[in-house]
Amino acid sequence: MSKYKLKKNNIENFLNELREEYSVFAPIESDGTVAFQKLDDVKLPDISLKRTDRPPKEIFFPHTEVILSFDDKNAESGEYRGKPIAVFGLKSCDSKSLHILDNVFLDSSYTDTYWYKRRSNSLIFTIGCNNPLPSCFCNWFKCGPFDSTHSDVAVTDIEDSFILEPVSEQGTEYLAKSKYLEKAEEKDIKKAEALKEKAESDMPQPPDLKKLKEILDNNQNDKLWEELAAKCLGCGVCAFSCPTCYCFDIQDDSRRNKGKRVRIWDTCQEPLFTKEGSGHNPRPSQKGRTLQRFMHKLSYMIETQNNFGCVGCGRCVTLCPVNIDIRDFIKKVLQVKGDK
Amino acid sequence: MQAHNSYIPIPVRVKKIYIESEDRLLRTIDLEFINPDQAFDYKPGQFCQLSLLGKGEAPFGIASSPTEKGFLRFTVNKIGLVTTGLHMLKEGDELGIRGPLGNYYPVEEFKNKNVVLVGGGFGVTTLRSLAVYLRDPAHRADYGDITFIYGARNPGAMIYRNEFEKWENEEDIDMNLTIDKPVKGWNKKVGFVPNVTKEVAPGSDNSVIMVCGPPIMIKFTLPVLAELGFSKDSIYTSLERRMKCGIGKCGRCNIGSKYVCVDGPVFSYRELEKLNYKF
Ligand SMILES: Cc1cc2nc3c(=O)[nH]c(=O)nc-3n(C[C@H](O)[C@H](O)[C@H](O)COP(=O)(O)OP(=O)(O)OC[C@H]3O[C@@H](n4cnc5c(N)ncnc54)[C@H](O)[C@@H]3O)c2cc1C
Ligand code: SF4
Ligand code: SF4
Ligand code: FES
Repeated sequence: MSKYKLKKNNIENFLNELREEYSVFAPIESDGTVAFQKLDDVKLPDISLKRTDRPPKEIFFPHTEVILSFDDKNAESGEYRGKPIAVFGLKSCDSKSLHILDNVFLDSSYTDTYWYKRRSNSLIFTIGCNNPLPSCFCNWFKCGPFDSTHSDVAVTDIEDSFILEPVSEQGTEYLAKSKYLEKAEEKDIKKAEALKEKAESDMPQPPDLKKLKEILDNNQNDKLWEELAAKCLGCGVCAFSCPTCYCFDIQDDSRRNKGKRVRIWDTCQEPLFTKEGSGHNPRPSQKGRTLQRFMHKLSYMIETQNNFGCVGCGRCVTLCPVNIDIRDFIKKVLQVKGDK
Repeated sequence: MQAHNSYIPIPVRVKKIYIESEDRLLRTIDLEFINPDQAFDYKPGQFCQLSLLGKGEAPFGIASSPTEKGFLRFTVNKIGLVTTGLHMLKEGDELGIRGPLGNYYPVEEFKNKNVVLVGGGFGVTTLRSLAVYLRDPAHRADYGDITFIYGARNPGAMIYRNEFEKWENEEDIDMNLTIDKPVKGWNKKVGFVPNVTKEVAPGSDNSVIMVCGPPIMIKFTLPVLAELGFSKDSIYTSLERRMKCGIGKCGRCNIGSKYVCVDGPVFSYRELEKLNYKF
């Protein structure tokens, strides 16, 4: 497939052109935090090419979203009605996280209308990571710094320009009509390939995870879990910052007869998360909650969608206030032998 | 491929209200669809989310049977925000409903078998649905003997009492109503559900058994069923979990890799064992 080159001094034009058809999100740094923000102003702020601190799920699954607005007489769905969404500058792990959430929100039994409305016809530009961070471990999970499986366009940063390669049909169509692209030359393509090879070989070799699920399933009473839970504060930072954690709460907010039903990010690390009306709580201790988070990612999701639920983005690794590192935990689990 | 929005409640109206228990904490409400085109069909064992705008939603087992037309029945135990709101409704008031949700008692697989229903507390709601379904003239011939065991703390806490007492005189169902401790004027069974089950349950040959109620009741009934020779595949229960979405999205109600709201609430004991579930 033909590859294109986008000169960096044209990025603003390119994104403005994209905005004619799409609502465009890109990573923007403000107050030291990098997050995906909607590009509203004509003058584009600096696009950051770092892995964002905040997870990209918030583009399609906002922290707070109105399900219904209502008054005495009417109730109206708050579903997204804007332009299709384009995201420029997702990392491979993050594009994969959207695929994992598609499997949750658009599974065969029920379609989540709110996710669907934002996600349908979205255009995903995944940018290769020239310099993976020490906390990155996407290559543990059949992904890699330049993996473009779950993208529409694969982008490589070759210093003065970007190389753009269409991945999906939608990506192919869009790139073919952009005014700001030129055909990539052989030397640019070579440069991009060299960057890819270097990044891939720079990342440490992953452990073999073939037996991970089986060991986890058979060792839920191992003291490993107690050690892990003993350290955890239950703050939920890992879940809120995780691109594949999707638990939410539904709450009504109303005054007199006017109000909203909203859904809000929630986390299984919260003690009241599972507390039942009767007062019974099936996960009364941090051990049960820690087990839930790790088992969901490393075992249950393999059953529900044949993917590990972790994409190796490293956000929880860098943000956990007590330095719980999922990689260390996995390595420890892999050393457990036999049934307990 | 956009299906309809499963988060939007369908408008329903309160058709009739019955106060079930002496302490007035249990109320049964019959609902009817405001727009009959929006009426849905369902199976015994399924549940719905009842929605009060401004208060929220809560899940309830459907107590009516699909063979009863014109209303959907729920029995609500008043314990919190939404359940209190539901208790304040008057006949004619409007509310919302989402459903039917979850799986159901596998009535097709029960054909030609004896069916035993064991209930405690308001776990009996969906067992009522199942019993009415099995006893319907269109279905009764498909099933063997039907035995119903229902225990309540005292006669005043027994829901659907009038109806169940009528069933005591019917030929096609063996009704066993029991209370925990003797009370003056109560001339039926006295004793906890597990003991009564031991006494009246038929043999396990060609039988299936539903056990629905507080976890503690189930815990003490299971060994009795093992004694009677019921295999783990022939024992079913309906589980409760805190729920929000009811459609497998909000991540709240799982047991291992299964979501009670879509893969349940009905599970066989065999399935629960695989999920490491303990009562
Ligand atoms: C499949 C299924 C079927 C069911 N069927 C029935 C049925 O047929 N009949 C029936 O009566 N019930 C049924 N239930 C239970 C019913 O759904 C709950 O009782 C109901 O959701 C309670 O809602 P509420 O808003 O009234 O209570 P809430 O106000 O949400 O909570 C009541 C209690 O929950 C606890 N709690 C909740 N949130 C908090 C918090 N933030 N902090 C501290 N404590 C808290 C407290 O103990 C509180 O007293 C069923 C549940 C399920 C899952
Ligand atoms: S961020 Fe760390 S301390 Fe907080 S809940 Fe997650 S693992 Fe526990
Ligand atoms: S568990 Fe941690 S490393 Fe894995 S996807 Fe979530 S935030 Fe990233
Ligand atoms: S109630 Fe939301 S996943 Fe089951």
